[in-house]
Amino acid sequence: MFGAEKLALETKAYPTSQNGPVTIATFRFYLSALRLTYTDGSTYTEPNSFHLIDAEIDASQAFTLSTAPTKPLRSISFCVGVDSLTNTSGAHGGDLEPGRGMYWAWHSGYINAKLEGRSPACANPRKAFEFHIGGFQAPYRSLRPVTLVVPFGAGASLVIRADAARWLGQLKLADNSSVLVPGAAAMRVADGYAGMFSIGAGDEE
Amino acid sequence: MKNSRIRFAGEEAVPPNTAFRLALLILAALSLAFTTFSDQPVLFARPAGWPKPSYDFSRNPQTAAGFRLGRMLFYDPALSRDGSISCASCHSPQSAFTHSDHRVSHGIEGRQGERNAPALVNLAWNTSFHWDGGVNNLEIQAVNPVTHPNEMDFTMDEMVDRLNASRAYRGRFFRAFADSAITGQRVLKALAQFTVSLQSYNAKYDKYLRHEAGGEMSEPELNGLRLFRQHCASCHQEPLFTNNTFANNGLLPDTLLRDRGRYRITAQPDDDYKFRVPTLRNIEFSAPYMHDGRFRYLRQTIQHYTSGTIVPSPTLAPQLRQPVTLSTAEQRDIMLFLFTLTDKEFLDDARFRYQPE
Repeated sequence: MFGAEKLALETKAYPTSQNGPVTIATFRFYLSALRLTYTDGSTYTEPNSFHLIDAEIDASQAFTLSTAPTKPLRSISFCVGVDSLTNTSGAHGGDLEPGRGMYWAWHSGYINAKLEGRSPACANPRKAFEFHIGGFQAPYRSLRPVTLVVPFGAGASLVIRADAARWLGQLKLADNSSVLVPGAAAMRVADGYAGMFSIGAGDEE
Repeated sequence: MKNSRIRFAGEEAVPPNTAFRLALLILAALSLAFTTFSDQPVLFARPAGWPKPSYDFSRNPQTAAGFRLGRMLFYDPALSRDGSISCASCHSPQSAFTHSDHRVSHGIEGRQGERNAPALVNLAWNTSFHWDGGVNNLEIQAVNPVTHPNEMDFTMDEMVDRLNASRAYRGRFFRAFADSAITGQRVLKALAQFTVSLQSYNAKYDKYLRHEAGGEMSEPELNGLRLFRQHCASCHQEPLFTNNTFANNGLLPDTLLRDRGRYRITAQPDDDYKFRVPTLRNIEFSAPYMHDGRFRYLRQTIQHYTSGTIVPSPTLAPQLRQPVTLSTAEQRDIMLFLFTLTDKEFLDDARFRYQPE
């Protein structure tokens, strides 16, 4: 999403209050450790829970929890990013394949989230911004937990909105338009993606 | 099929008084044994008295098919974008799985890297990889040479697509992973099954410690071992001849490369100009030496530590702050000792060599 509408990559400049008109080129993140909490207090934890959500690939934006009980939900929680054990335990498959453009080879580790695009606010000749946010070692762990309360009466199909506008709203591109390594700056940007989620209306998508 | 023929020859009753036939049978068995030997897998074995390996084998259990597939991939230039470079191009078995005569190696189109290719040996004990320790797991290391523009300059996805187009590879992946779908993960795991097998523990030094035949050390070699333990072993710890840490050994920084080593990874001022403490096993064959391959001869490496050329700096290894003074004879003895780390059984092991498939 970008604000109230479905995000269009490259083709559209979205007006923003502090960063001017913004075009998004890449919006991609790992959603992991998904857990459902039901109104009866029980929980469901998705096994091997890693999903690479990519605004460019529609198929990445929906998945089914085939073994989860269908009961009324109280809340849903997940993490943005990849946990430290997975970061240190060798080669992984599926959405964690190191060929997905979300892995740093020279300094082992997953990129938890990527946001790239252009804005006239950026203080560089290309007017481009790029945020490759990762880091799993203390004190720069950029994994972020998210918990969302599910509104009463939600059906078996739940829409989670990931709003790039909310993430960008936490960033001042004129001051910093590029974070590509783990560190204190990445930690601040990670706080931005932790706050970009909300439960959507059931009739979306 | 070859194996069953060997068994057949062994089980066959030897007719009495037919020495000629017996000799022929033995010859046949020998030649079969020879041709099948190099096709045998080498599975990891922890030598007695060695520390517990760091590599987690439970996540990538070794199999004969996995080892053979890893070996095939290791020697296959299809892993590089233009099909010209294999892993073995820079990690050749003849030179202890490093690149002899090359200060730094060249990737596709003759592109040069910035660091000396390390010897691949006893990798199960490495707690990190590369001169700067930036890579945290053996399995994931191979992503670097495949994707680095100065090495194979390929992408994992394109490499996987190329392998998937090969029927022979799909068959081999099926044998190794019970699934013919080739993925980046499986390529990496197969390569690791091969490279983790590159174990060297049968040098004269090892046999000396085990009181085995072939382990008889000369007086100068024993003196070299004594001097080594006194002056070198705090970093080059036995039996791996590394302590898996990073150190600034007082080399004059190269003003062109500006390589700050471990600092690149940690951004900690304490890590400035620190590089991996490399193993010294098979050092006789792993020239040139140091992270940038600046020393062509082993004697230059020893002289670096003993002739007052150590460059002082805030991160210089504490062990090198006091000059090490060794006579020419003592330096020679250390060198003679270092030659006892040559493991011909490992270097000449046909099972690690390229096998025509």
